[in-house]
Amino acid sequence: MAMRYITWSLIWVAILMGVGLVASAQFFWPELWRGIPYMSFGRLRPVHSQGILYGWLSLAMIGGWLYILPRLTRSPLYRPDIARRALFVWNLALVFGMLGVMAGLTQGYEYGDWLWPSDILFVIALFTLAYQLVQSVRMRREQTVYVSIWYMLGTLVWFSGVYLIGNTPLFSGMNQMNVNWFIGHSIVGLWFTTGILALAYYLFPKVFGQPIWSHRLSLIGFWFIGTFYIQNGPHHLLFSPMMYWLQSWSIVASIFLFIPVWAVLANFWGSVRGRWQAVSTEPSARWLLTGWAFYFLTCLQGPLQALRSVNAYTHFSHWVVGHAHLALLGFASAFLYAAIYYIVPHVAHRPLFSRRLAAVHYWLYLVGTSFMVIDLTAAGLIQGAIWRTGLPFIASVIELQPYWVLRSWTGILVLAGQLIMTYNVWRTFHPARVARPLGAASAE
Amino acid sequence: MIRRVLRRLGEMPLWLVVIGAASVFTFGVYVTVVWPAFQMAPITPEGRAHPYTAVENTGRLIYFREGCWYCHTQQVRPVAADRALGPPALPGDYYYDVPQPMGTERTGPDLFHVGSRIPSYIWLKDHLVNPQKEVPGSVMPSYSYLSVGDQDALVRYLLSLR
Repeated sequence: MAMRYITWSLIWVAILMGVGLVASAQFFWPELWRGIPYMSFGRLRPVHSQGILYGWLSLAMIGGWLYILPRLTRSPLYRPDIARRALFVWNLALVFGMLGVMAGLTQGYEYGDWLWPSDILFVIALFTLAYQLVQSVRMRREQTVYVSIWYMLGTLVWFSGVYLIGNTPLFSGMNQMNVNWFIGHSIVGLWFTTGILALAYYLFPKVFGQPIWSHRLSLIGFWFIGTFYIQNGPHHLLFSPMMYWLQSWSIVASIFLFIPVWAVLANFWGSVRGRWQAVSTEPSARWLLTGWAFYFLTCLQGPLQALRSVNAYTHFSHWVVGHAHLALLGFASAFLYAAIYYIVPHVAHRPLFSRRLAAVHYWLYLVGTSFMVIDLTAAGLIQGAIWRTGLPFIASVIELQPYWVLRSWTGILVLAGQLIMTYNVWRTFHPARVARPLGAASAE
Repeated sequence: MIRRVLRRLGEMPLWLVVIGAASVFTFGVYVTVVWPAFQMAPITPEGRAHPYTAVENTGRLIYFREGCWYCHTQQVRPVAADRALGPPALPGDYYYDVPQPMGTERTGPDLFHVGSRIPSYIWLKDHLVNPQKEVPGSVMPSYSYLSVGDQDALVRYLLSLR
């Protein structure tokens, strides 16, 4: 069942990275799709942003959960058919949402862009999955409850609330802006962060062959994330007409996140310490280390840009786009790649088709992602500087041209790596039946 | 003392973890969503807020349908970068706005007071169809694919933002 989710996530991610690339090309080639409404930037952007969240990250993450849960509970999944049906409904929601925004059906709400029928389908899939996972935990044979199960259950509780409240169409004006960022920030904080940490808490000890360093530290992280991440949303509204106390409080809550983040990082480091040789034997080890580094950078940058002095300079600029890619393409995707490279050989019962291709994917990804984030961050700083000078606005657009071109190149690298990975996974499950011609490169 | 608390924390039964997780969540929602909602209830229209006419409202919905707000903000802040954009936004400015148009990215210029900054119907309409001709260097897509009625409504909406 885990592999079904992962397979679909790999299908979606290739499509959606492609959509991102096509959308990014319009920044230096605005005439590209002239006269075709479906391909206009304003309609493609929510396909890419929402799609990556629900098509790639969510499905890969749930696939990972479905893999680790039976191993942590030492008992089979409760009713696997539920997961299969939920996947169908989930995909239906994705298709409807994406084609919908391309056709002009939108809620006009960042991270809640897709029209309500897809919200309803997501809720059905999410709640049936939650039921299945909770039942699986209840029927566990292993009495010791590992921290990944805490994170998984917490994530289900939190995200159900976030999704329901965030998509409630009861709010207007300023109030809606507040609820918009409540869901916008909490999707990342209490769905991807906590959900992917559940996987990472399983993978670090497994891959590096050293048990979790401190169980207590992981629990401190759990409670601090749950308490403070949910209160981060209003830091997207600094200098807006939102109440000043709420802006200030969200800054405090953002700074508080240093506690759980560093608890998590220290804990993972405890599993890595002295076991660096895993990098040369396990393809997913380098992904875990990369995810660790990107998580550190994301969570250093995040609270700092929530400070008023920094925010006044960076808000509304491409710096924010850089941060989003650092978090989701950097931290979240790297951990999910680690999970997939770990899970695939275990499910296929044979080694990965090619370790060399996995390495090629890694370096394409690392170079692409790093330069994308650096490029967008630099672009954001330039925008911030130009806006302060009082020059005509178009100056900030013209100045960004080379950065937009470079951004698309980095996107090509990431997408190329992704396609290589898809091929690698596919060949692991479908090895060639015919003998290799003499002299063909061996796949290690 | 702290050690004892931590040990207890680790020994929590799972149902208590779930209830605890729901509790900290509820607390967070109360502080950052419910309480602010009560505080914002008495907001009344002020500043640029006015009931949209039928055609302005059509234009407003086109503004969201085409995703204009992904690149244009409608939010003037009291910061150095926004000095040339007119008076900063007030809570009541958005009184009639669902969805809210504040935006998150400023790839294109802010449109909060666009109706007073560029009060020309003809220019706005030409710019919609041929952005690069009106503003050399612009990266805005052409909205030539909108019907004449849609273009008219969108421009009237923009002109209403004063």
